[in-house]
Amino acid sequence: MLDTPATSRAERAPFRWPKSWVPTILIIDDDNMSRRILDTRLRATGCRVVQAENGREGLSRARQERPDLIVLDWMMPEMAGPEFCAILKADDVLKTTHVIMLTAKGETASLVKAFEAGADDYIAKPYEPEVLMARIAAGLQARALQRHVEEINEQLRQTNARLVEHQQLQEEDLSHAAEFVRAMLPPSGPIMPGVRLAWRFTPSLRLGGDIFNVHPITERMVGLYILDMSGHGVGAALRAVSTATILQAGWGAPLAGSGPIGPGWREADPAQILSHLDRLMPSGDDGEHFTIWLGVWDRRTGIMTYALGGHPAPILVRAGGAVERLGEPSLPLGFSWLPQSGHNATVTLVEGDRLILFSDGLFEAFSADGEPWGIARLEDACRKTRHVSLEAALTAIVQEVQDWQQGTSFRDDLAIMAFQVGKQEYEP
Amino acid sequence: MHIEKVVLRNAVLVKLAGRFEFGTRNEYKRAIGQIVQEGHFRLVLDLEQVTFLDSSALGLLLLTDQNFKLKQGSVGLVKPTGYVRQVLELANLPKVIPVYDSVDDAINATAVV
Repeated sequence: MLDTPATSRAERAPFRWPKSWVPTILIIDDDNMSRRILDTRLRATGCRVVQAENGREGLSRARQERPDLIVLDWMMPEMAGPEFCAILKADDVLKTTHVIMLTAKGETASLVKAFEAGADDYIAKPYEPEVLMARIAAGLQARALQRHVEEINEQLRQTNARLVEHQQLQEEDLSHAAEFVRAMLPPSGPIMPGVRLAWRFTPSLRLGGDIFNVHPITERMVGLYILDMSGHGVGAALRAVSTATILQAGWGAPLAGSGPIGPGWREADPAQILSHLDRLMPSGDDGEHFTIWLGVWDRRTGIMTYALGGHPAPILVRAGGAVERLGEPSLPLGFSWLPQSGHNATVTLVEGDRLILFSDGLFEAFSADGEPWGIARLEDACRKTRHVSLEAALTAIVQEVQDWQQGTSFRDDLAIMAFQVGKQEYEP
Repeated sequence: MHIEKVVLRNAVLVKLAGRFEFGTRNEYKRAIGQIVQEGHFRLVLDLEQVTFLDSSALGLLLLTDQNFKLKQGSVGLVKPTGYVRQVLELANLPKVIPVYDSVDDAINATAVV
């Protein structure tokens, strides 16, 4: 008799909210008759109604039922309206519940106290039932909006959690790949009798297109190179690693084996090797290419034969302090249609000479005013540090560039490898 | 990077401004791709307002040059300044793509190629 199931929701206007939602309303009033009248009217609109006789009971019903709206009487034994309201609004779960307080007529002070206690709305007794229904409808609409926002927040939270998880997986992938690249780099220190090596390697992203290495080709011959694949990130790193692997395999191939360049890599001179790499690593739609400096050093004679494709010429610091550059401007590799210089040059390295190979990320570091550090400063830094250990020299050089950049990070990949000739113990 | 296209009688002039690098390569590729699709044969790239140019940009310039040469067209570069000129010279690029001092020079030269 209290419910009117035959009446459809649409006819029960003016309540408007998603059909899937049945709002729960808690009526807290010590007056039995008032409660029952309101209960009947609210059920007729399709709401679920819960009742309580006083604040204390109301609180326990509120905790059980989590109502969407509370109609709260002011005067009650066993916890009156304001006290109830203050406790409700201090409860993290229930504090967003919409509360309509029923106050005695004309009591301005009560009205102020009702809002101070945290009521969202009030209505003075005696009231027109239609007015209370309209206030409840407005309160429920506010609640419907709030529920909508909460749902969206929940969806965002879930999406965010998925993205964070995805990001973590990618980070792990990148870390593994970066470790792999790092593991390809040469050891430092006295890597073979009469040769010391030191290097610094900092990709601008987790992975970069710079790579370098030193390989013993035979007991007498040593191959070394630095290369810079255009672009950044995973794509550049994959191409750089592929090229490094080709070189490693090529130089490591058995002398008698018919390698991919005829008589075998071990006999090939640097220009031949570059021409081969040029064909093996062709450019794609992004104009991918690489620059490289590659040398083969004869430990017996001290003669280094080298060739380069587009790479900044390494700096040779002689034991006496003279500085030479090993190479002329040339075209990068990867563009099969471009003419390659195809020629080798030679230089003789003696005890105490230091050869410093680097990529453009080092001298193209910019100051805050936009001025690049430049090759001249790099040459100077190499000369100045020739008396300290290789490690100390590289630390000082990188520090100087970082000071130049005033703490901003390198935009490009940074790679520098220093190769120092010591006393040759090798006897022919 | 800002890209402005001007269609002239016998060439397309593209004025680039700002940083021409890995991060802006797609803007460049889109602009040039459109010019190629429109059937132009002569391209003049004005680099005067380009403040930075990295290896990715060098690669794209070489690729563009080759694509135009393959259809008997040509590419000319105009007025790279300071740092950009240095980068081009270090990579020996002027040996492959001609560099001019003015847009007029570039248009006149590319027109007779």
